[in-house]
Amino acid sequence: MGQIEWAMWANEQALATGLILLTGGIVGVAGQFKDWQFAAYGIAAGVFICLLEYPRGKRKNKGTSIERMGQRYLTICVKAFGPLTRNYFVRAGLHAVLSIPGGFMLPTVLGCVCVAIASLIYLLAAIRGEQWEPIMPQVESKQRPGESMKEPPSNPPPRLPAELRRKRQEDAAYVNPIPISVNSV
Amino acid sequence: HFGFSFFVCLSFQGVWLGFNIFLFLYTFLLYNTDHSYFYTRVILGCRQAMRRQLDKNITFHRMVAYLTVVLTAVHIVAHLFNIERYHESQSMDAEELLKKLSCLGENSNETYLNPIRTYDTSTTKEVFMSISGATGVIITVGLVLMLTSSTQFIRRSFHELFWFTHHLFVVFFIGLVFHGAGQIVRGQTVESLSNHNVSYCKDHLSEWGHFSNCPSPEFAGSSPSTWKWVIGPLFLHLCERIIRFYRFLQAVIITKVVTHPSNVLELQMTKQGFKMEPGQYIFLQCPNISQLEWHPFTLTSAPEDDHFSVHVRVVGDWTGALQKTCVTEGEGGKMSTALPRIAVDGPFGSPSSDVFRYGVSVCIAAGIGVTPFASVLKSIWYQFNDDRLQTKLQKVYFFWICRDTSAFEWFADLLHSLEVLMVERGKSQLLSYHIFLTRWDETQASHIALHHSEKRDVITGLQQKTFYGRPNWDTEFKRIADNHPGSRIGVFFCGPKSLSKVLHKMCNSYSSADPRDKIVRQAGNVRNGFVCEVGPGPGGLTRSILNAGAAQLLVVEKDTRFLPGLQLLAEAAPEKVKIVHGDILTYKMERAFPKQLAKEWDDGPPDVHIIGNLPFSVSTPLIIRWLENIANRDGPFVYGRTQLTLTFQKEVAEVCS
Repeated sequence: MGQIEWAMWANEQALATGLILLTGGIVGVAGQFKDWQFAAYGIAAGVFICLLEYPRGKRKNKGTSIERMGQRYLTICVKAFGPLTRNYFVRAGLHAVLSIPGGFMLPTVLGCVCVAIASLIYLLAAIRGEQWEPIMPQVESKQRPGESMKEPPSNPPPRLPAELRRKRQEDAAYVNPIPISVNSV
Repeated sequence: HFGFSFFVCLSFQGVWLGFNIFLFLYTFLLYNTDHSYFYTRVILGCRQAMRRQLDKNITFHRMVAYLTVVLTAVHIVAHLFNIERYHESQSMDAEELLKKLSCLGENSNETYLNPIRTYDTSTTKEVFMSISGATGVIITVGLVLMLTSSTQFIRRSFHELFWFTHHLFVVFFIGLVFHGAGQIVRGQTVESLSNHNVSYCKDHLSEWGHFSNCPSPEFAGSSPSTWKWVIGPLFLHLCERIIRFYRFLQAVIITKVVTHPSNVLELQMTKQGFKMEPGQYIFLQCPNISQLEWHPFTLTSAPEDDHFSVHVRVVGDWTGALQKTCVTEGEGGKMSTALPRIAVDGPFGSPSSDVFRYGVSVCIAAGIGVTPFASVLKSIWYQFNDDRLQTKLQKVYFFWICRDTSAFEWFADLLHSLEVLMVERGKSQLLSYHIFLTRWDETQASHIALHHSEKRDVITGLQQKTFYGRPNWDTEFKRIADNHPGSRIGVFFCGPKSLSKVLHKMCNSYSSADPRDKIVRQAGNVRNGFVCEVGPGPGGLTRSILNAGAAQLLVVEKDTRFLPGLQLLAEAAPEKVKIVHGDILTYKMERAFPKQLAKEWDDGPPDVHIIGNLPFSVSTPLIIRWLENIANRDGPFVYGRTQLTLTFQKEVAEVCS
């Protein structure tokens, strides 16, 4: 149990709770229940929690972090709030506060209890020093050729001076019809 | 009266249910054991099919869980509306009938209908004060916690969290059984219905209680019935837990502990009365490490061994702790009393036990998924050591795809001894194994290249060379299918899901028994190619060509009688089929297909095929004509080395050869 990152579970719990609050709120508003204003709050709070919790954070320990589908844009939004979203104490407090108005009306009571639990799990995560790190896309490092492949040579190989390189006429196996100079193609 | 009718009802239900169960069991046992149905069972393969369904237990469990969550949501929403309506009926603004009904129960000799007794309360308070409401909230919260800790991400990465939270199911079921005890949903009693005529009295509220035709209606709560549904499955689960506990008490002796490279630990154990089949798995528990954790491991020993063994890869907390307790540090062997106590539950079945039921079996393993096949191969080794045993299995193809070379080591010994045994017994054709290494670094690559021409493979030490990269399944399956035409080949796989899907597709595409599809397959890769079919006739081969995915199909048919059928086929495959009503001997093939398809003679063959079941009278002159064309590189061979796939009479073929 030592390697558990509680924040990951808190994140799943909070996301589910957002949906529960939303559903409860819709029931309260649609049925025109007494005190339906709390239900309207439930809808707003539910949507807010869903948006906040949708981007999954990066795992602290070894292991691949799996993104949720399409979370890229929300990650950027959530990241923009800096320490407010990174720190889990803040999140725990935020969830605790959000849960309170849900307790005043029956359809949102379930959401209230679940958000409170999520808040407790976040508190546990924060005590253990976890933080929310955004999953950013990896910048593809350029393909480097293997170690044995060095840069291509930039200088021509060392050669004897041109006069010594020119073939002596008497040793030639054949005679060139066109005279050849050093730089002729 | 009420109680008596309740018992009658219950006993009738019980009798009816019991009778059904008895009928089912009787018929099942009859079909299962009676001799008159022996051959029926043989044909239907009953035993396997039933067991196969039990292998899918986790999928079934998940489906039931999803259904539970959905229905819980529906149930809660419905009751939210109900409670709100009950509450509203108590208000001053409610309708006459509702107010009247809600007032019932004020006097001591009246029974009540509305569970909410006064308007001066909140629905939340009412819910929490009733048994149904309180249990409902508790079990729903438990269900939500179970749900959020069971997502795939949490299961894969933090399994203990999932496992422990899932035990909230105990709370869930206990709460569920008591959920109905509050009897909130109330209905009019049978007795009251006979006195109080609802359709009349609902419009004559003033007469209630005063005249004899509308006495006050009596209500009673409906009794809880959930326990009838859950008691059966809970009983079965309890039995399973008891069996596990019983197995926990049985002694398991660890006879040997072997550490293999790449963090693999082998445990050899014995237990009294342990019987296994190759490829099965067991659950292991080590009380020293954790009282509550049971982990599954595939058995790697054969049934013929005097012990049973598992190979454990050290990846997490539990396996790490297992390694620490089992492996001695420093010199000297550990005394057997120092080895930890282990409990074993199982063995449980897996599909690989069926390997011996086929004449030809293909076993494919990825990485650590080789463990069930280790057991199978060992079993084969034993069976072939023992000459007396006749096995149905004649040929085994074994593919192992591995990422590092170090994983080969513990398994290579087994393969090596199998190799030796096969050669000794003169049955070297029995096992054909192919090992694929999918990842390597530069030093390894240079080392391999250096020793390439040696007789034994440099990595595994086996005679069969290791292949590098992933296998081309098309080629492999084609080869196997061609080697064993018309036989039933069992394909077994243990590994990641993505590869499983690929293999499933391969099995399906190579499983056709239709000889016409086989002919088209023989032509090679027809997909997106240009095909000319000679003499399609009624179009059997034509359909197979179209099914194989040809881009353009040109059919040359001389007989007018077949043209209408071919035209229908052309309509069914628009833009793909062109019909030429003519004689293949005079048809100018060089104009048939676009010029871009042409390739040089020395390059590979172009995407142009000529396929045909040659008409009887024309096969010889056609072949002679085409041979001339090849020499002159004209006719169909302007496109390069056009591929011909033809069938003709046996005598013609003999004359050709």
